[in-house]
Amino acid sequence: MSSTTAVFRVEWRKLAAQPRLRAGFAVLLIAPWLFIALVLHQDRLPVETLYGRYLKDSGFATPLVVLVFSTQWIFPLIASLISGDVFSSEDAHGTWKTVLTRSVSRGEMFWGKVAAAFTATVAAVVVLGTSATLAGVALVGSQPLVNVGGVLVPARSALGHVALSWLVVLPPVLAFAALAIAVSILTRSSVLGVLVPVVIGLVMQMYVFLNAWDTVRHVLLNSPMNAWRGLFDTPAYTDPLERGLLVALAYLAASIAISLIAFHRRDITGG
Amino acid sequence: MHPLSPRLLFLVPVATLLVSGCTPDTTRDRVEHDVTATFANQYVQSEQVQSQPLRPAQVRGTECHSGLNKTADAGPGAWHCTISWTDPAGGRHDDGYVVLVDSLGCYQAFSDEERDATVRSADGLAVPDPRVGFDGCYDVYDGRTGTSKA
Repeated sequence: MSSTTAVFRVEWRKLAAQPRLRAGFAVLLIAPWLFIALVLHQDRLPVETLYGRYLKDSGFATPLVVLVFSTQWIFPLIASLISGDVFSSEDAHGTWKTVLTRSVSRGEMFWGKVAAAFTATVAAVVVLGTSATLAGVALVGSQPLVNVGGVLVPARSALGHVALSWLVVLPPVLAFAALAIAVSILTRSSVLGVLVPVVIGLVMQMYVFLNAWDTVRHVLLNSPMNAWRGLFDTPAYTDPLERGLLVALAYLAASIAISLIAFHRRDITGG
Repeated sequence: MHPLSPRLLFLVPVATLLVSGCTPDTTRDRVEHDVTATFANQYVQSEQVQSQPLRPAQVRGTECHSGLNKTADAGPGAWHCTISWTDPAGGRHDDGYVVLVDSLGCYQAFSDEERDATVRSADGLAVPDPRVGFDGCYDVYDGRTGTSKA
């Protein structure tokens, strides 16, 4: 077992033991069920939300409506809560000196922690997406779903589109996680590591609500976060996804590069 | 390196940003094209729900205008579209729709007068008519960049 894997395992166990994250995962598991149960018990539908009008017609609308909500503020929050203190918790406990004087290099420590944070973030997205899909299918059914081109899509294809839509939001969600890691390393503060990316996410979301310069919006993480919409159209289009993936990868690479440099340069002699 | 290269490295992305910034994501062409296509598909669905023989409506044209940016007809917000179509029996219709366009290239369309219209399904149930309310999305990078100003 390599040292990076060893660090990953330790970090994974530390993340899994956090009451905050356990509670967060429980919420992600339960919330979609409560949401669709409440929708089914009322007359009105959220018709001004994409796929909201189909919530009672097909269970596959549930994960798509949840995805629309999640891209607005839930994903930045998930990424920050998980990744915002993976590094800075060592500062808070004064344990850098201890962990780095073991037979683990800084590089191995860095990649092990990043891998654990990214894996937990992906797990959170998968849990929410799977729970929302199961809630929709169990409480509404697996009827065909009308896509944004006005075409009725059979259940199996609709399920495939739902899975693909949740899959393509992972790069921008991981970009938020990388941002949280960078802030956590630069500030050595868990509070800032969690808060700053959430605030950045909210600012980006506020910009999306404004009728401002479109080109700026194209380079915000909201664009790749919502690029899945074109995949479920007739005919489907992938331009926003292709450009959005480049944007997400740019945020990801820049944040990781800054984090790596800062982590290698930092002085840990103080503990 | 050429002496101008650093300046070019700065100017080219800025110029690209400025030029591409001149084309709004939400254009009249994109809204009109997508509302027309989606309405036609929703009409087919309306026929399917009622178990009627599939006879697509002939959409003669769609005219849309932005409620916010009335000069250029561009940008998100509330739009109004008039869909002109002919039913299979030859009846001509000009139906108004409020189209709520978000800044990410998707919209919700609601019929002006028949917002809560229902049709009778094969099971005898009254269900919302797919023709009078629908969602749509369009590619904000396609070539339909025309606005009223252009």
